[in-house]
Amino acid sequence: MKKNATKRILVRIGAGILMFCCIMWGYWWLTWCAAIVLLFYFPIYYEIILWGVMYDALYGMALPEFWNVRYIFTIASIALFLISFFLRKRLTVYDDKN
Amino acid sequence: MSYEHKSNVQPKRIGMPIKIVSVIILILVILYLFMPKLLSSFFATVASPFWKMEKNIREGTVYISPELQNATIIELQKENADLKKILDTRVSSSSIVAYILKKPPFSAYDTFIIDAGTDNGIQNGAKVYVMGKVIIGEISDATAFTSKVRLYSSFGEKYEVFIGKENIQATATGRGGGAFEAVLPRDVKIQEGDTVTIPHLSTTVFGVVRKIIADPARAFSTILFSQPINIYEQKWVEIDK
Repeated sequence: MKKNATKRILVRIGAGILMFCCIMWGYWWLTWCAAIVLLFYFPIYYEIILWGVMYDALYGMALPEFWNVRYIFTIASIALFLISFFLRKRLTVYDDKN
Repeated sequence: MSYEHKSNVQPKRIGMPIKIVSVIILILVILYLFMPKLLSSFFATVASPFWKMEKNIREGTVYISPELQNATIIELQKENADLKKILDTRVSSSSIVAYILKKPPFSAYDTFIIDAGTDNGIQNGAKVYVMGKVIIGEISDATAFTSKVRLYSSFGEKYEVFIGKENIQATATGRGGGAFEAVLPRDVKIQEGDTVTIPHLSTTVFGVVRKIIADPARAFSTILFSQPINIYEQKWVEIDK
């Protein structure tokens, strides 16, 4: 049991490092594809909100392209988290505990 | 035995994740309203060493093998020539030369991140040039070590410009990637190849007219112009303090 928990934590840390590298050096679409995959891989992936906040803090700017909203990726990450959360309740493939 | 369908089971109360997310949203709203620069400065400080590491790797300070050292020497010679060219055509003696750390398409926003910030005397609103004469944008968000450059050509950005020899005033709309469009009456005397300048900065070239789309059925023509350099090929920018 303890081994499994350690493994889960290590996988989560690894995924965090991967996402950090994607934000630093990767293409923006690759970063967000990876974030969505991880959102459905982990039971509850709070980190996606951190990645959204970090992305906007580093690159964000109020541009007409994004309706002059500076925090577009923060909003998107929260929306994705909530969508995945409610979707899980509807999908039987996920464990009840999730 | 019958089981109730899972989709029919209604949750009785709000789950813990929703409560946590609500608290996070509240904290973010407070931070964005009262300390809008805090997160930006914090993450820029965290990211700065990683971006600079990337710059060092590109410049070859980490490589060891002889082949890569030769490639590094060639790259450094090119960089040296580029910097000499910038020094020859500086906008003013007080301008700062900065390295572009990030540029599209890596970031979703059509912006540059440069390796100079308020510690180097850069302030919001400072004009950003390439090759000393071509204005490409302005500083939008300066932190201690890095700054964000708002490109004039970002999609939807609007600016007043003068087009052609007769300085016809028009509103240019950014289309991304260094391209712009302006709509003018069809009979104005503008030709392909005419220069575009910005009011108050008439000595700096803003763009060159590439195409004029004139439909006989319409009273207006669309002027397409782009900046005389490819903004995505640039490595250095100059900031006029």
